Order: sequence, then structure tokens, then C-alpha cells
Amino acid sequence: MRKINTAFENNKKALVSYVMVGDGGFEASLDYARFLIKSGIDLLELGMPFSDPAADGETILNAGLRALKAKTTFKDVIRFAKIIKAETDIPMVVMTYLNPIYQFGFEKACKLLSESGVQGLIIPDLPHEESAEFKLVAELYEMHIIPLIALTTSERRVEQIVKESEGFIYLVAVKGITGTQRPDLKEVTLMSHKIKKYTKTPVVAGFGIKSREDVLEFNKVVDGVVIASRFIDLREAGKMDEIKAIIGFL
Amino acid sequence: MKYGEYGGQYISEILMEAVIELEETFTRLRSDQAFIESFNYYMKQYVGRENPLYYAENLSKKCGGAKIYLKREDLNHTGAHKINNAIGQALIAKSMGKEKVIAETGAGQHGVATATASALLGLQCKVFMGEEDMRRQKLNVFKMELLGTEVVPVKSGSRVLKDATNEALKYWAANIEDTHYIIGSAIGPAPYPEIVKYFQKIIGRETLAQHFEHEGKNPTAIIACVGGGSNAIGMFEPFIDLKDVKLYGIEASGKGLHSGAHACSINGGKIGILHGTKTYLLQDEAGQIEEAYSISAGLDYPGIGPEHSYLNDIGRVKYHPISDAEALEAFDILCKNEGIIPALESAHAVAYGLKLAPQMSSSETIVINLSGRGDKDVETIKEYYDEKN
Repeated sequence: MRKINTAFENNKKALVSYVMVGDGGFEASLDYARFLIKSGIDLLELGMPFSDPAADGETILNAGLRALKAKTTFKDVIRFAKIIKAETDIPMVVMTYLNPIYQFGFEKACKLLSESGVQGLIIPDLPHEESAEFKLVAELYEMHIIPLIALTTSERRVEQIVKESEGFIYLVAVKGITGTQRPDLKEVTLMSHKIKKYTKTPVVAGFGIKSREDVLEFNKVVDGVVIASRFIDLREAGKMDEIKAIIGFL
Repeated sequence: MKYGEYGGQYISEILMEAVIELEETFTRLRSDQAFIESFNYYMKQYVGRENPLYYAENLSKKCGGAKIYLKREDLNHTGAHKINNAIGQALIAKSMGKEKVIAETGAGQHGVATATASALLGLQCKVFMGEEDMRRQKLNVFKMELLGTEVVPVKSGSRVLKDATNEALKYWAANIEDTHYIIGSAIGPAPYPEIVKYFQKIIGRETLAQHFEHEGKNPTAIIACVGGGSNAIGMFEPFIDLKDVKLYGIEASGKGLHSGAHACSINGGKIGILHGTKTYLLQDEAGQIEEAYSISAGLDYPGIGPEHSYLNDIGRVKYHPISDAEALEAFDILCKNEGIIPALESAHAVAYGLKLAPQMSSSETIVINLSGRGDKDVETIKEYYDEKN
């Protein structure tokens, strides 16, 4: 298994994508992950579905509802990671809201995910101010808690948040939710510069990035981008070739 | 601000700066004499406070035992306690220079209160409401529109209060710079539960003084219904340190605690994190949030304010379930014996009062918080009886 930082080695720009575990059923979502990896993504985000995803737009919300209908639980996310780990060496992180991982048992989750090749957790409803106790536990299992920075984050808090960051920094590139409006290059540039004043940890921009043009443009100012909702939409529409073309092009 | 292990700020980073700004503003305003005077002015001149602490003699006689008093929040302008907080928070929005406010609403009471406060104070208002709730509470939707508010139908999830809260949070994230989110209950990330308690404590403070005037002593017991828990926390606030006063929070047990159709976060839920706060929640084994159910739309929320979770754990407040059927019976008794049509939410508190009073002596007193009036529920009640017959 490669470490997260290998995705950014030699100034390479990382392409991160996302699979909602259990969307379309466990096996189908696993096949989708294999497809993304084979197409050439550098880092894989595994999504744990949640009934009330406050940071997500319609696409991921609906993907989550489909996954919940298929009775997806935290155990499935662990099993999913284990299978991917056995097949490839791609770095993986898990994106989950706090309640499902809290109910599963945070420490148990860190331990089992770590054993399954997962190196980081993205928890949209766990801001810096509440993260200390969780970080202490995560560290025991070499699990990074990936910090999120918003365009609204003040420089004072950017400094606090990124100071001891590990893995990568998730720059939420729009004021809003996933998969909706297109980010503004100027705003993302400004924030990326602010972050880089205080850390060497790579910065990845996500939320609203959709096309190869977007990727090329934003990669000028960050170290990588996430495409999640757009690919889910294309998958739903059966346009797998288009996903492949975007990833392949990059 | 945490209440034991409960509360906190479990929200996306996008909302953090706004919540920090709100915290700083609130800390400043709560000791700002001009702000306090302006709030008190509207409470007196506009809301019509103080409202009576009414001795319900007929009801007391019917029950036998303790004397029952009703705190008449139902007599406030707009018909419920919600207006206290809506005006308070609208004043905060103005102090922050925000011209736009949003709110979530279930039954529509908080929506109407926020629409009212916005009309009064010249704010632009959008209210998020589940489509299902819009269907159940058509009159309140129309009222909000008359007041110049845009009601945004929420089509996600089960299209009720929880979903409206999700959508309001999302809209807020996208419009954080010029918009204040007026949360209607004692829920959400800090400092919201504290802000809501601050504006609702007027209920308890008036009650404390009024009861002393009537009886020359403190009440023996106080009862309030709890959904998110804003009327209850406001009523309990001055009494929490008065250990001789027994406090009861009443949860809606809908069709029964074991029916899977209830709203008892404390009696039937477990600790978790939702909408920015750690508290008792209705959820399944995997931590997915479950639907709440109650005949009363205002109690129909799968969580409870974090301070209530704390007050439960330390044993200061006892939380008891009351079912749809019990609430409806109490509703009927209050209508027929006192000529007061209570909100279905408040009828839950009345129902527990009817159980408690006969077990107490005539020298003891109970205060029931009549948090709202029942005009909005008349149709629901008619439907219930039509279905039954």
C-alpha cells in the first residue's frame, strides 16, 4: 500500500475520486471503485452513507440513500477497503459523518480501517475545535484526520487548522454543498496561498469540480482535485467512457 | 459551551466562522443594556407580555390534589412561546448587520414567529418547511406568505422538520455572509441552545415571580413539553438551582414507546451527533437517524436540546412519555373545563399534569407551561377523530 504522500510525489497533481460504498449494491460499488482505479485515479475516497448528510448536494445525498437502501453499514466500508487493499496499492481515505462512526465506535473504526489500508478520515461535521479528542485516538492507529478548510475560514483559523496537518488538506472550493456550483478560481487561489503560508501538506480542492478544464485550471493553484458528484452522475447515466476519458486525459 | 458531554459545535467548516461571529455578538449583546431594553420593549409592547399565570380552578377541582396553574404562552402574539426567541434572534441579526434571515419549521409556529419578527424589523425572510408539513399545516404556510416570507418546500428525506433543518443548514452554508439562521429550538451547534434559552427564560422568570405573588412560595412541580425543548428550557431556567422544585419534561410517545412511532429521544433514543450537537437521538444501530412521530408536529423531531440530555443524566429533570391518545384526552378536558384550546404540544404537558395532580396534596402546586394555542391543530384533531370513527 502506497502512502498518501506518494500521490503528490515529484510535484504530481493528484486526482482524487469517490465511491459511495453500497451504491448500487456492495459488489457494484466495488466494481465502480475498480473502474476508477484502473482508469488512473491517484487516491480513493470511500463514502459511508448517512441519513442526514449536511454537506452534500443532491447527487451524493441520493447515492447515500441508495446505499442505505442496500443496507450498507460501517462494516461494509471496512470490508470494502480490505478487498481494495488486497487488489491494489492505491491510498484510501474514508469520508463519513460523525454519527455513524461514533455509533460504530471511533477507536474500533480507526483500528479496523487502518488494518484495511485506510490512511485518513474526512469527517465534514468534525471541525477543528471539536477534533482534539478524536485525533488522539486516531493517531494511535496512524489514521490521519484530514482537515477541511472553507473559503470562509479566517486566516487565524487556517493557521491553527493546518499547523499539524497530515495526509492532505481538503479545500472546500465553493460556499455551499457538494456537486453544485463551479468554484471561483480567484477565491481558491487566494485560499490555497493562505494555507501554503502555514504548511507543506498538499492541498486538494473539492466540491463542484466537474470537467477536465476545471481540473487543469485548479491544478495550477492546488496539489490535486476531487471529482465525486460529476462521476456519480455520469455513472448513473451510464456514461462510463466519459469518466474514463476525463481521468485518462489527466 | 457544553452541558456535561453534550452540546458542542459539530458542523461543517463552512459554518464555523459564522457561528463564531454569532457567539461573539451574543456574548457582547447579553450584557448590552440597550439591547436588553429593546428586547424587553418588544416583549411588552408587541408580544403582550407578561402573560398570566392562570389558576385553573376547574381543572384542579376535577383532578383533586394539587392546585394547577397554567403559564399562558398561548396568549402571546402569534400564539406560542416561539415569538420570544424569534424577536430576540432577529434583533441579533440586525446587530450583526445581516438583512436576511432563514428558519426551519415543522408545525409552522417558529416559521410564523420568524416571519412576524422579520416583518416587524424589516428583514428578508425565507422559511424551510418539509412538503409533508406544508400539507399538514396549510394555514401556517399561508400566514407566513401573508407576512411577506418565502416558504421554501423541502422535498428531501421524509419531507418533515429534520429535513427542513438539513436544507436550512445547506442554504446557510451557501449564503453565510449576509444571512442569519434563526434556529427555533434549543438545538443546533453552540451557541444556539444558549441563545434560545436566553430569550425563552422570560417564561420561567415571570412564572417564578407570579407564582410567588399567588402563593407566597415556589411551585412544587413544573411541567413542560419537550420536542427540541425551547419552551421547557425557558421555563426551567430559573428553577434549576431551586432544588425543592420538581421539574418534568414531557416527550411525545406517539403511538407508544415500542411502536416505532414516537418522538422520545431520551426515553427511546441514545447518544449521538446531529445538526451540530451531541445529544440523545432517535437512531438505528448503525447511527442512521430515524423518523420521529407524534400527532403534534412541533414535537416531531428526532433529537432533543443538549442541555435536556444533561439535565436528564444528572437527574435534575425527569423526562416522561405521553402518547397521542393521552394528549388528546387532556386536550379535550382542558377545552371542556377551562375553555382553553391548547396546542397539541402543550396538551402533552397538560396530560402529565392530570396524572400528577391527584398524587399530590391540596397545599402543593403544579405549573404547566401552556406553550401555545391550538387553533393550528383543529384540523389535525378533526382528522384523528374522523379516522377513529
